[in-house]
Amino acid sequence: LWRRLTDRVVVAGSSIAMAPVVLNETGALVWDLLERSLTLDELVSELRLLRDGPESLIRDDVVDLLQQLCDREVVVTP
Amino acid sequence: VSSHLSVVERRNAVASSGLGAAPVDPRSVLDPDRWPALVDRIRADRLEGLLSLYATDSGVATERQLDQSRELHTAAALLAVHLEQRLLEVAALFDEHAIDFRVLKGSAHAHLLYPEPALRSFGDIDLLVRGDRIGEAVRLLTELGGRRRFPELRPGYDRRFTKGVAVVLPGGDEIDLHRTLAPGPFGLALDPGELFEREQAFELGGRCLPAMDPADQLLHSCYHAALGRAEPNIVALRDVAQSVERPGLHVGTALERAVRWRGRIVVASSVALAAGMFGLAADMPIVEFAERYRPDRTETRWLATYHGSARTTANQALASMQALPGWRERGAYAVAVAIPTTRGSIPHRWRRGIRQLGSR
Repeated sequence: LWRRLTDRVVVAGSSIAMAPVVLNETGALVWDLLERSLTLDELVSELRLLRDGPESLIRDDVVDLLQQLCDREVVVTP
Repeated sequence: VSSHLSVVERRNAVASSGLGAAPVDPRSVLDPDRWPALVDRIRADRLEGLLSLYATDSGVATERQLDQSRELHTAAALLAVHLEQRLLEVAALFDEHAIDFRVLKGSAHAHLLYPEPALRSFGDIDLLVRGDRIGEAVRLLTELGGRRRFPELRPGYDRRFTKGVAVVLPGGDEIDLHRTLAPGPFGLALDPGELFEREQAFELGGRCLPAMDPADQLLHSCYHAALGRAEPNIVALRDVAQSVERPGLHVGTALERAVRWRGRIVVASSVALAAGMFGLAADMPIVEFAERYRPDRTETRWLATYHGSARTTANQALASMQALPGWRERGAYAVAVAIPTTRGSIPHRWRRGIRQLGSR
């Protein structure tokens, strides 16, 4: 359950007990990239084309976001 | 004379966003003095998604207005996905108890009619349920802590005559269980059972949910636009515009059903309004039908009970009796509205209507 807005994405958790969250900037970019089946390295590499900053920082952001989405059971790890 | 558009003109321009039709006046900047009133109107009309598109694409918004329109849109999207979480919960509950349903309006229209679901905002959940199961559906929702907005007028009224039952769940989420597609005579003249003979599915949160087929969706949008309130419902009119341009729609099928439901006047008036407001092509078959259709006296009289000075509970009750098949149904309906058993809690409009009936 999600909505794509102009510059952000709104994502619901897997149950009514989890309030929906808003993904801005990197979060919204990652959400769009999740449409494609990419590895973590590929996600980071794609994001480096879209935003400035050191790779380690981008990787940390992505891992943090994916962990939050996993916790909400919005995405599942293989 | 102000060089700015009025709030209603601007609201109409917002409602046209993304359809390819030119806004009312693209050169006119958004009037800062009228902006708060416009925001109130947009929220009341559930046009937050289209306001965000309008503010982004038209170039008439200030940075502050652009930010505010995005915040409004975010709030509307948060509500939409929250309601869809609730919808999945209720769908699972109804499946478990074998209660057949169709998702109406908000979520179904967002996913099936619009290029981006975020463009169609909504504030409640609407489900069509068979009349003979509506009591059980209400019971299941009250077991979740829900409460009916209005009591049943008389035992059996929900099953046979009601347009629907609104249930408010803890936390304020409203679920409208519809027995038919409209209040009054037009809702009673159609057989809701046939709406369960066909469906189309949409995907939500990994499961398929049933909605009405494209022709029924168009008809329902027309009914909602023309019969829901005294003023035409602008979101429903936009739904009409989205419906008629949908590739899967068979206009002939929709009109055949409208004939059977005695609702051609509703289709013609809603499509004509949508065509005028959104610039629908005049050579579209449904627009041509709307332009040339001449309603009969009964349809005209029925439609008049939804608008203007003839919009009274008594007038609608009398027209409703005419729409019902057979004297037994008419008698039961008359007794239910004239002698309700829930005297202590009859909504005010019914009390007034009953007085009006008694004075004739």
